[in-house]
Formats: sequence, structure tokens, C-alpha cells
Amino acid sequence: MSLTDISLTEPSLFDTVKKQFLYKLKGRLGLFLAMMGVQIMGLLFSLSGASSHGMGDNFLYVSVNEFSSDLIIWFTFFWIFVVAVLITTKDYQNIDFTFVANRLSSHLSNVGFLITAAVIGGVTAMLSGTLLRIVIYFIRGRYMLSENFITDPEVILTGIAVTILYLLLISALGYFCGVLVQLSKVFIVILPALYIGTVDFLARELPVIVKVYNFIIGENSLALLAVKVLITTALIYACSCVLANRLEVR
Amino acid sequence: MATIDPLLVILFMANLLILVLVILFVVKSGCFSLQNKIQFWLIAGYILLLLASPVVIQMLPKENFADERIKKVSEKDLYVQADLYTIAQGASPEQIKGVFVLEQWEFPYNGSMLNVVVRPLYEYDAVIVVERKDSADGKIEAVNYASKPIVELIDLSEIMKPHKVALDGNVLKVTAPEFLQIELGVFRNEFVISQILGDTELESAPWRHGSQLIYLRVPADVEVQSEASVHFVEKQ
Repeated sequence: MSLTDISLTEPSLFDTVKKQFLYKLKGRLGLFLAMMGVQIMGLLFSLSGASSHGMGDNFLYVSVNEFSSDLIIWFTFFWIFVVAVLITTKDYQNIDFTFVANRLSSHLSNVGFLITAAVIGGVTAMLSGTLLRIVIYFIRGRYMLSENFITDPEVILTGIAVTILYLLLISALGYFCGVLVQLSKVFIVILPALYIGTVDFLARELPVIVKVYNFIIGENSLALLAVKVLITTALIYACSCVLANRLEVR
Repeated sequence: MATIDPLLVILFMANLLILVLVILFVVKSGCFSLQNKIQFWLIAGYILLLLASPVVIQMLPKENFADERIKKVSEKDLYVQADLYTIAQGASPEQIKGVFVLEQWEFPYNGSMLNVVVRPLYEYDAVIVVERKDSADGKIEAVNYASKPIVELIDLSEIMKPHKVALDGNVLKVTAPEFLQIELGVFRNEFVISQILGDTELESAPWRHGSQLIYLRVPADVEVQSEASVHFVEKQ
């Protein structure tokens, strides 16, 4: 093979995306270390219990403390949002240009990375719930009730699937926010204000918010939830790509 | 839809900020710039630990759970009439379903006057029932009756602490049971599971208070006096 042949060989989009994706996965291991950190933090916070109710008289006071790994899942949601925003920043985008790359391959590899992160995050967040149960068993042992202690595999798998879907959606939203901030720094102020405003409006029963809430959180069928989340996620990523193309070409 | 407390929103935002800072710190901080290999093995180890946890949890001894160790009752037991206070009105303890003997004492006594004291007097409202026996047999019998406290269909009567009853001269001292505080723990399914499979709320069976009563059987020739409220009943 001559030197001319090499220089004229243009790698396919798939090859470039694959190379970028693998490079990013290796280079961003620290992000998964951060996931581990927030999940352990969530686990430690969950040790005190989520809620408690009790009754008593002169002789005996009995309370039932409810434990749940909800907090670990919420923390994982925050983690993936931050990660999604972070990988749109210039520091992280610069990795792409180590390769012969274009914006599309860069986006696709980022999406691939976020999907991988969502899958890893979803599996670990749900399994952290099992780890939490083991830790509490040893701490609280004598007065633990067996109800919901051992979760059936299909229940765990359902939990993993739903968590992954939420992580996919949140990562897409984070990526979109990140792209907006790269477009204009004004969004650093606008987005949090919009978020707080939405929370405030939520209290006032803003119909749009209620509809969005029912569309995703109110969905009880896993298949329908998957369809809704995957379509919404794809649309958000498509919007992000279109917006990002308006950014100055490096 | 409930109104969101602004304080909760602030706390939520503060938590969010802390979390973001932690993530950024871990990612950017020099102290975490471990070599790729170490990072990889840390993460792999964590994931392996998590993957092993569903297997480990199956191996934990089930007999340690409170509902395995402590007797469970059926829902119909909850509705068994166990009103101890009917004893104070003359009902026979043996005839009341759900009432059991928690502790009993017997003291030889030759005096003619018995002074019953309750401790602590003003913080504790003891129910004391006195029955005079037909004969002067020189024995004071004290029985601590109780009804079962039932929580989440678990019968907690086994861990109930009885009163302390002691005779010193002509003074029968009744001391309130040691106050017992039990914190049971239960797991709730994660919200991502409840969204699809429905809520797995705790069993909705009502809780029932347990109560205690001291029943004294005194010889026929003994007079009883007390600063506390004492109910006198006829022999059944």
C-alpha cells in the first residue's frame, strides 16, 4: 500500500463514530467514577430511611421506618444530566478532533456514550437498591421486616428498564441544554430560571406541565413508556444536532 | 395538585448544586486523576459488587427478620375484643379473648392492711383491680394481664415488658414497665417500579395498641388502701 493510498482512504462514518465512541469511553472513565461517588452518597443518605410512622402508649412505642433507594436513582438522574451537559463543553469536544471527524460523527459518538452511560447508570442505580438492602440488613437486622426485601428478578428488570428510559430522556435533555449554552452563554441564566419557573408553575397546575407529567410519569405500560421516551429522546437529540450545526465550524 | 413549599424548592436546588459540585470535583479534581487502569478496576469492582448483591441477598438468613422471628397473627385476630378495662368493671379476665398473663407474682402476707403504691405516680396512670378472696389464705396474688399490641400483623406481645410488683412490709409497690421503643424497618419499592407495577404499600391492616392491667387477689381479711386509683371487684 502506497502513501498516496493511505491518505486517500476516507474512513466510513460508522468507523469514525466507533473509534470516537471507544476513545471517549476510555477517556471519560472519571465520569463513571463520579457516578459511583453519587450512588454511594445516595446509599449513605438512604440509610436513615425515607419516611417513618408510629404509634405508642405508656409502655411501647412502635415506629415503622420505610427504606427505599429512590434517592440513589434521583442522584443518578442528576449525574447523567451533568455528564450530558459536560460533554458538550469545549474541553470535552476537543477530543473529537484527534480523529478525522465531522459534527455528525461527534454527535453520534456523544449519543452513543450517553446511551452507554444510561445503561450502566440504570443497572447500577437499581442494583444499588439491593446493596442498600444488604447494608441495612446488617445494620438494622433484628427489626427488619421481610416485605419487599428480596425483589423478584422481573421486578428488578422492570426497574432497570424504567430507570434506563428516564436516564436516556434526562441525558438527551442535558445534552440539549449543553448545546444551548454553547450557542449562547445567556442560556446559563435562562435555563435555571426556566426550571425554577416551571417548578413554580407546576404548583399552579399549569396544564402543559400536567400534560407532560401524565405523558411520561403517568404512563403505566412499560412498552408505551419506552415508545414515548425513545421518540422524545430521538427528537431532542435531533433538535440538539440541528442547533449545534449553527455553531461555528472548528 | 399540592402547592410546593418554596423552602423545599430551595433545599432541592441546594442539594442539586452540591451534587453538581461533587460530580465536577470528582471529574476535574487532581486527586481523582488516577491512571486509567485504576479507574477502570475501581468501576469494574463496583459493578461486580452490585452484580453480586442479588446473589448475596438470597443467602442472608431469613430467620433474622422480625416477622419471621416474632409471631404473625391473622387479620381476624385484630378484631378480637380485648378490652382490658371491662375487667375493672367486673368482667373475668379469663373470659376476655385476646387477654393473656404477662407476669404473675405471689406474696405471703399476714398483715391486715395493705398499702398499694404506684411508681411513678403522676406520670403513669396504672389500672389496678383488687378482688377480695373468700378465705384468709395469707397470700397476695398479683397478675399482670395484657392485651396484644399488633403492628403490621406482627404480635409484639413477646417483647412487651411487664410491670414490677414487690412487697415490702405492708407496702405493695407497683412500678410501671420499662418503656420500650421499637423501630421496625421495611422496604418500599422504588418509584420506577411502582410506576409500572403499582404501589406496594405496606399491609394496610390497622395497628392495635396493647394495654396492661394489674389484678390483685387479696386475702379476705386484708384491707387495701392506695393513693392511686384502685378498682374493687367482686369475685367472679
